[in-house]
Amino acid sequence: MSLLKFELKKIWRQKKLAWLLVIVLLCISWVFYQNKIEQDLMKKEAEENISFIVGKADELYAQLLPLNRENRMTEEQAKQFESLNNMAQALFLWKSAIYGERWHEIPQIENDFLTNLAKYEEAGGVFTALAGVEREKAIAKNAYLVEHGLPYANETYPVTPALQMGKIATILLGPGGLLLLLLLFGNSYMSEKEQQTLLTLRTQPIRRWKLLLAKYSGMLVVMVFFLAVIVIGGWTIPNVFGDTFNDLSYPQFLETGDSFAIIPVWQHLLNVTILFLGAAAFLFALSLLIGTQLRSSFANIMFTGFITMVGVVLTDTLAIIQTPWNPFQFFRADRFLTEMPVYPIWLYAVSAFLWSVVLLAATILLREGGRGLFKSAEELKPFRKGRPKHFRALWNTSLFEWRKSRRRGLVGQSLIVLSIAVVVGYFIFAEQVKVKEKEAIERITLFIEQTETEIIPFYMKTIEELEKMIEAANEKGEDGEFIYGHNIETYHGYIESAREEAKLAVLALDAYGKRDWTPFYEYQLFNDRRIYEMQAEAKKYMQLPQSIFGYETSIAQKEWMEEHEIRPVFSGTYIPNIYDNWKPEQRREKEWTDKMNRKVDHSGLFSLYMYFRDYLYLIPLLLFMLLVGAGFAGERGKRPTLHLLKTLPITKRSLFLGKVLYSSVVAIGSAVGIFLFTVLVGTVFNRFGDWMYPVLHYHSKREVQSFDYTGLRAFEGGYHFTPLGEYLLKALLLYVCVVLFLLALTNVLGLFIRQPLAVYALTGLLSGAGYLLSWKLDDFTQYSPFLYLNIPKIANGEILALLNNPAISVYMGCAMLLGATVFLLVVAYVGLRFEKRFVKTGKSVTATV
Amino acid sequence: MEISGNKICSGGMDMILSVKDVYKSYGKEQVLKGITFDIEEPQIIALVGPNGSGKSTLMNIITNLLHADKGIIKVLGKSNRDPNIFREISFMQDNTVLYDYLTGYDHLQFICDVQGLSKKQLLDTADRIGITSYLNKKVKNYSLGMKQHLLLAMAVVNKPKLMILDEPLNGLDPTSAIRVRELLLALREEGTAILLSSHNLAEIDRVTSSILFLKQGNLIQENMAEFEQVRYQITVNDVVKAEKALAAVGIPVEVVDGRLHLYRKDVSLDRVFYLLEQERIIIDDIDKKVFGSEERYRKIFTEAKADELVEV
Repeated sequence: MSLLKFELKKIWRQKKLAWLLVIVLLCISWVFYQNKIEQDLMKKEAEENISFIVGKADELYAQLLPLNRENRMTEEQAKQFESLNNMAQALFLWKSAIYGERWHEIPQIENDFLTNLAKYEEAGGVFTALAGVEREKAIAKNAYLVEHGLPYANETYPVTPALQMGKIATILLGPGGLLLLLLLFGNSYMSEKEQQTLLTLRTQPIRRWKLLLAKYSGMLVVMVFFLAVIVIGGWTIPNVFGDTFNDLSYPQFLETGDSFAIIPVWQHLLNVTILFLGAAAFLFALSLLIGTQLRSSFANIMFTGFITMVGVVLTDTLAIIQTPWNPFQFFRADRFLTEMPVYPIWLYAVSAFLWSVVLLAATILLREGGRGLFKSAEELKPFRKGRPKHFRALWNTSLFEWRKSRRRGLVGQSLIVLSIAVVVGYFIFAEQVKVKEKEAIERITLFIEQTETEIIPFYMKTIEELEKMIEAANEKGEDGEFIYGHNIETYHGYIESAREEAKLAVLALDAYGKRDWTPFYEYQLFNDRRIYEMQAEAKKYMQLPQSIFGYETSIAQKEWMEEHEIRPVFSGTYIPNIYDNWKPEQRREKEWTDKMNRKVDHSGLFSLYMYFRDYLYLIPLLLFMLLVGAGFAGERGKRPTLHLLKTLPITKRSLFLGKVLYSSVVAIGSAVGIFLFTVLVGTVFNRFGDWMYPVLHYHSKREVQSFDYTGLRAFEGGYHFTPLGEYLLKALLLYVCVVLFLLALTNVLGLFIRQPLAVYALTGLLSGAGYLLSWKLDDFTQYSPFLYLNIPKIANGEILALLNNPAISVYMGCAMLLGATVFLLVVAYVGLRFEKRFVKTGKSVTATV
Repeated sequence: MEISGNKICSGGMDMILSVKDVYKSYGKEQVLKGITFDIEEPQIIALVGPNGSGKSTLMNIITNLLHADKGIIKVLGKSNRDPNIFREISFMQDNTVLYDYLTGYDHLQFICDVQGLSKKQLLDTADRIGITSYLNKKVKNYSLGMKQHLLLAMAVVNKPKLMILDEPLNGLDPTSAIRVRELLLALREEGTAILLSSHNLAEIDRVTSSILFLKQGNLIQENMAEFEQVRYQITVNDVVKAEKALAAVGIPVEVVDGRLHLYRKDVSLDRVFYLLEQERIIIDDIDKKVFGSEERYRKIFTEAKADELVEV
């Protein structure tokens, strides 16, 4: 107990808890503030949610209204009319409640509506606007709300405590929170080793297992503190500044396919908490185990993160290991906690406990000592056979920085880990490609098989039934041909289309085996155009989230690929884009659409493209920033090595520039090396890739509307395709400029701030705030260097289209980032030149001997 | 050599170090209150004071690691803000400034890079300080003494005209301490002025020619030769007769534990021998005790009142 108390005292004295508190409260406040300013959207969203239902109800009512006026309604139609009338009244009240923001009235009104809808259907009516699973969900949710006396709540931007907690949980009780805890507290054992304070503890009558257990317990206490801050902060802020109804029992859906269940929010939060605690307990135990084996804090964090990442990716890929007994399953909570539970939640808690015990036992049993994964030699050879090099001061300091880096070995270790990650990533991509390719070929084969055996016979049978209906109608004296004849034509069209598609599919399949892509594209284009036409027609009557732009660009992309004879990259018939209009409640559909249309290929160039597209470039960026970007802050603190440098005949300016130069070379060189390695791995194991592969590039409305616009036009906006090679060169160019800018920023901040952690935190804060602020600068937004930190969205023109600012481009970004870099460096350089040059002189007043 | 006011000089040479009216405060606490002194010739000067008296602060200010609130410092005629002064001076700090993931060689190599020195100079220095055997090991594997040696090598390698050493004898075993002492004396002979701080007053007595005492932000400068006291303890066959004989001619003498105690500054030993011989007193034993910095330190920091300091 005394050991645990000592641990907690150390944690307290290090002020890490204060950091944690500030970060958590900032995060909660930010989420709350964001939700609060979006409250005006609640009415709009609620109105939109029912607008389609209102439209349909009105349409049905209008159909029966003439019959009612002419008293020509059958008994069933009369019942339907009455129900529709009641539904219309309920919808009117519903809309009225929305306008008046009387949210507590809505569940009862909805209940009335649903009751009348049921009556309408009992009377033979068909209401397609709310059908199937969506209808069942609406009924279940409404019944729940009425039963518990709950109002309609803003689930998209919640400002009520429990619902807001749900939003916060996705950030803080997910990977972000785990990373935060790992970075702040995961190194507590290793840092004691590094600072040799562990020797103090080792020379006390304390058994090693007690020491390790105390460390682990300290981490668990921190975890509880973290949770307590989230709960108290997450509860207090909405209660003070937001809406205050007890939403703990607000309904939350669990869905798997067409099955669903409702649980109260508190239960969902409890599940999230249990899994978070499990994940954190496992992560801390793993970090402790690795900490006893490695030699540096950085390597400890790297390996803990790396093992976790690989574990999670493997778990994600292999469904068979997605069980509670797999500890990496804890990290996927966000992916399965919204699904129907397969395993009881307590099983995860038991698993986490067992894994922690196993890892702790391994930590205790494994011998500690000099057994590091990257154990270095005892005797190190001097650089350049020990001969000094007499360069200018700038080069001497840069050279010294390089030598320090070599001796520390962290850059090398990081490169090894990243290289392994690249190879692992390649095989993951390759597996995904294999699955996608297999699925696509199977779909085509199945379609060919089913065309003659199932699809066409089904159409034929339908035609036969329609013909019988025509006959029956004719017998009643009605014009059967007029009523049903056009349907028969439609079905004949379907048959013709199916036969043509099947013919193309056979050719495509045959050609695909011979690596002849043209017939394959012909088949795909036929299919895509058919779907496009269907969707375009459907959009006339329905509010579909997918845009026409997505279909048009998908077709154009395949045409380009066919023209340039590019090997097919398997994907869907759609390109998810900025004109899509997904609502928050359609998150799952959006995820599904994105997943189905996510283009994956494991060629060298495309692998690199995916690193940029999926923001994986941030890993080397952040990693090397952390390694070499601290500037002077890294030479202050507990080991003020800067004092040594300052007592040598070098100016602080040279030291500063040397650090900037070295860190830029290392960060850029290493990252570019990793990128090239990615291409190399893809090339060696698969192929180099297609330089001309078309990458969608958006155009702004201003460009499209200009008289000299030369790009392509789609329904919602303009675009063109950039060859993949060109895209990658631009992205790389921007990456280099972003690295230079961020390193200049961290180095300048390092002049004023003593702690490297504070430098990184402030850089992150400035970058985030700068990026968000850039969006508000209207016509001047292109001059903000922070805007260009989002490389993939600059390189594909997404930001330029969203901001409708044609001036935003990769080249503009490079100019702004380099300009800002030079500005920062010049200011710092000049500032250092004048630093403390003038010292006050005054009259001596004390006599000395 | 002469002592002239606040100067430590022998006259005629360029000023090696000039510290004038240096003030420094940390918040409300004034650590240095108008410190003034000069060093004009190669010699070893000790900076002595209790912990927290401002020794390291003064050294850091001289080397521009800290900025004084007020005052002027010249090193070899240049402002201490000019980094080029470090071509001719060096500062040995505590071992926290070492990169523990670098080898000793790496440290020296970097200094040679910057100072434009050759590999031979590097190796000669390492040999002179006695660190060759562990030069290629990472500093994190060094003992405290090894780190001190490395720091010393780093301070010596450029053959400076002024060396400022912060606790150079810290953590050294007796053999190393003797070696360092001899090194410092040799460097002085080679023309290097040395300003060092230490708590080891016995070692200071052996190497320094002047001591700067720091108390409550004020400097009290002493010339060792001036205040060094040699006390003779003489054992005689008749101590009462001997005391009377000496007192009769005005020689101050004390009798402690049956032995005569007298000071060299009061009388020459020849005269004492002569007087005792005249009285036919037999001398059995003579013991010579040298009282230097420690005595002075005791006097300044444990006995003297604050208002006496100005008068010193």
